[in-house]
Amino acid sequence: MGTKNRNALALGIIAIGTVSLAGLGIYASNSKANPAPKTEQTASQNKPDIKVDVQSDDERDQTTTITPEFVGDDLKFNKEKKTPPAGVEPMAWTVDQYLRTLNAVPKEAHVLSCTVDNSIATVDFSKEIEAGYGSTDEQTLVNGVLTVMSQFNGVQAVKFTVEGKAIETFGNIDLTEPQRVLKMSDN
Amino acid sequence: MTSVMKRWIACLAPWMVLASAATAAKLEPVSVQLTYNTPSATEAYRVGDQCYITPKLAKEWDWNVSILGQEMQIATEGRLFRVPTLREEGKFLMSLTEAARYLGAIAEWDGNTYRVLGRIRNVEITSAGLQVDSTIKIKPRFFRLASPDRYIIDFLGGRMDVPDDLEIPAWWRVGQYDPNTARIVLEHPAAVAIPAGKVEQTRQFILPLPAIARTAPDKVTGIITPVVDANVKVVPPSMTLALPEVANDHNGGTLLTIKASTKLEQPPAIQYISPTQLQVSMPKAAFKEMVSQNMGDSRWVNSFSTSTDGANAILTIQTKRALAFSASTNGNLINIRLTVPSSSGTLNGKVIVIDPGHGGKDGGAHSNGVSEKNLTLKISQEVRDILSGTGASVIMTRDTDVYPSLTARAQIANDSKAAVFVSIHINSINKDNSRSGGMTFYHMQDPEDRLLAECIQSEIAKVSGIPDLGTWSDRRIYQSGFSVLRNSTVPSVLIEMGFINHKNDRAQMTQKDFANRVAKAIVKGIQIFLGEQ
Repeated sequence: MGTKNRNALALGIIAIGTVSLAGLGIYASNSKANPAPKTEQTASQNKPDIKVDVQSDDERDQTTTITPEFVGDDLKFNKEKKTPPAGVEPMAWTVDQYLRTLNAVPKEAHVLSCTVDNSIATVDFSKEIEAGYGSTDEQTLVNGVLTVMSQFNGVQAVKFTVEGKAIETFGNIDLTEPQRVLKMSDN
Repeated sequence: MTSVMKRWIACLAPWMVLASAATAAKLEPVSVQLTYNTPSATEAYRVGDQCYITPKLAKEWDWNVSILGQEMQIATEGRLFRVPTLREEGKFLMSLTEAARYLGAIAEWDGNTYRVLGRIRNVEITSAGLQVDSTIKIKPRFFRLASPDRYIIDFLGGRMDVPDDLEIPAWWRVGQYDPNTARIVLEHPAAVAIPAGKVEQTRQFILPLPAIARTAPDKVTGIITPVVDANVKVVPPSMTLALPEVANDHNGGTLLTIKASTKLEQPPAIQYISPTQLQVSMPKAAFKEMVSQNMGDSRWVNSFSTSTDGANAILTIQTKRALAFSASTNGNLINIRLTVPSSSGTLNGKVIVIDPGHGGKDGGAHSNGVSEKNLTLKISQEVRDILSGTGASVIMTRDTDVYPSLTARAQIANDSKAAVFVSIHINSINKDNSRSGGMTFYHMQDPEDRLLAECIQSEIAKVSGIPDLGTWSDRRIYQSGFSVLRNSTVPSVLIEMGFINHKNDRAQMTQKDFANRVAKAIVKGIQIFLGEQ
């Protein structure tokens, strides 16, 4: 085998490896790409939508992820800037990051989609989110999502849904109406 | 494969660091005061809502401490118990919060100071004289005042919730003088004859009384001048306040007014000390006179006293029954409206709606195999049984493991025109064992809900064995509040008994007699709200 052929083979392996790692990265991030409404999904749309993003981490917009902490009686959030993985929807990814900091939220629970219409964001969760919460855990879940969503331009309020359906509550708090976002600076 | 594993580790490492940081305790240096002892600005730390101290500080308080495995054994106040320890930031600490709980003491945060006080649980006149019992040692301090003659006993490091069944002569006054001092005042001409008692700190204080001191004086009048704590920094007031006057007094309540020397920017802060004792605080103000006196012919106000904490004018109002309150300002006039709840009288014949939280598909909070929906149903059924014995008509929003919607629960209370709606819950928080305590929520700033919460929570705190976190507006944790409170049009509260994922709270809540203990307290709280007790 000549040198040219060996280089071509090496480049091929690197290319395959790069695409594989990109796919692995998306899988590992547990994010849901392409937040299309469930009712419009087809069998082909349910396949993983893996894209190779040509943007570097620096070129993509960063989002602020948060971690809850109680300071005395008050719920506060520690903040950290992060770049969502390539090919994922930033709002859904950032809310998912927050869910992973909550012990009461099952690991299987995740965001199905985040859509914004007329300044109201609808955050649609998978059914596992309905796990049963005490008031303080529910406060942490809901207020955290409202805080996360405040960073996205144009989002004034959040409506919580589960598998496309409106919900009354996660256990205690009245969620029948869209809830005003909570400013990052206030928490 | 090795390369992929390294990549995974590289990918996960920051999260592992974050997770580790999130679970690590964060020490915040604080000041701590144990009853009458001088506050210590060192050796104490705040971790979440708990206070931890060094064993060195405990020894300075003459506590006998010894390490047993992961716990600290403490011998003090005639008790022997163990509390959790914490090794963090190179320090070895023990939980003062847990120690206070074992001792039955009152423990509270006041800014950056953690205060542990003796709970004065008994004041009575016996054949031996005046007897005062506290859960931990308090320090008596005596002094006399003339014109008229009064004998004053302060209990440093004591907290007194005046018992409803207190049986002492009418010319004795008892109450809380400041957050760290309980006070008894004998307003009687024979006061000067009382010998000075022992001044050592004690859990049981007995003061021999001359026979004449048990006889009613012809006339009880005069002024009691509170003693200003020498340690309090005095800030010059920007306005002076006249004594409160009764502007309106009728079956539905009393309107008190206070004239200020200048226009007021905001109404005063008011809080309950107990359901029948209110504390009004006005910043940067001082009353013209420091008095403690009866309220004349008011139907609902027994007496009031004026004092200062150095920066605020303090008005303490003792009412004849539990009253709702609201405050407003009009120019230089402060209006304090005290209102009899719309539901009053005896439980007999009244409709009470009890709501066991969650149920069916919604298990609520859960930890270590214990489920909120089961605990709330058990407590609710106990409440139902006790209420039924009083002649009340009890409606349960659920009596089995089913899930009524939250709006349906509130609708049951509204449709039945219930006198009271009580929703019973158990709390949980993100980090296990990080928080302990029970609280009762009311909706937004609703005065009647707040009163009902105060009546019930103050009774639960006496029997639950779980730290008392007080009453909270639901606005404090969430902008739209609890659904069942928001949608209810009758006096309603939501009780959080304790944290299911705190081992001590859970241990209390799973005791056999817990449901019965707190159920009795809830019923008693409702009776206090109705004015039956």
